[in-house]
Amino acid sequence: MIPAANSRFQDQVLGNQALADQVLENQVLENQVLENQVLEEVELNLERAWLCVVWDDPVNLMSYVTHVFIVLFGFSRAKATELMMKVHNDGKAVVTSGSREEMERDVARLHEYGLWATIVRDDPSS
Amino acid sequence: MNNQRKILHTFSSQERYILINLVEQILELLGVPAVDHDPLNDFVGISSNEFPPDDPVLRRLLPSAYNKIQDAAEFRRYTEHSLREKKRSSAHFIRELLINEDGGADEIEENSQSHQTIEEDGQLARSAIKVTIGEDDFPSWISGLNDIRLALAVRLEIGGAVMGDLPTADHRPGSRDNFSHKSFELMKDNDPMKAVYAVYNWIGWLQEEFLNQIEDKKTGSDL
Repeated sequence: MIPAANSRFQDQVLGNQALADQVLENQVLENQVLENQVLEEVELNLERAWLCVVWDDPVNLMSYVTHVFIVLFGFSRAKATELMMKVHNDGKAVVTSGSREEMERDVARLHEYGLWATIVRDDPSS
Repeated sequence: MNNQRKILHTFSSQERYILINLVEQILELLGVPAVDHDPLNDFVGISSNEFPPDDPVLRRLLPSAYNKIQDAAEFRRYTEHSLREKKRSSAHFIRELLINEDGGADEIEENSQSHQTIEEDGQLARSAIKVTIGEDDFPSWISGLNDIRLALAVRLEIGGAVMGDLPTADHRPGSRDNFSHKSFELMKDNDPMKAVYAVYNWIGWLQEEFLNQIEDKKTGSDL
């Protein structure tokens, strides 16, 4: 890639239209690369922006829910108990977050254990 | 491995009989084929189902993963079959152990009066049984018992219509109290639901018992 300062000098001195065109093209390309990087970052954020939510139901035992959190997600007993209490008191709790694919895997495993779980998109405004 | 954690439990002949009966009901319920049943889909693990089952028990055992109908349908199409199979295999596992055809568990003769009636009812569960559940088999047992409890709860209408249907924005806890021990006590003795509620409570007690046993054994480990 031609350094911009050097090319401008050449452009002025030599009045080379072709070179000027190439500089412009390089600039456009550079901008595109930047734009793609930004887009990729946005996409990466979107990929992580899925949540696995467990809902309270009147049947599953508190000890059972805690046990499932420990077994499936490797949480400490303290963290699992805290999440279970959140489900119990608030009616729901986010247990994991990540890509959509990861959340679908988590929800499937929670359903195997009979917990009531859904996948929602993370909404920072809520 | 010898240091595998195990839990031990003795089921009376009556308990054994009831539990076998319940897991068989679960097996039957989960075994009902999908509406547009396609054997090829079974083979590749795709269920033809896109919509939540009509039966409220199945709707609770095989819940929707998304609030959005299209997303839920897509997810169900690819996962319901394997979820059914997982649940069936847990139920099947419990049944095998209780029926004890291979004689792996200890049968214990009972001298109780109820013994006779159960024997007349069939060849199953003639005596009490002492089962040993290894750590590897624990997930099947604990989730299989939970499926039974969920199914009974739906039939008992515990939690009303909330259970199994899609959670709404105003979902609030507290439905736990809709059907309490008090309403059980108020039930007439001849109400068939009273017996169902007693079984529901017993399964809950079993779950607690098993969880206590497995977790006691884990004390001192990394958990």
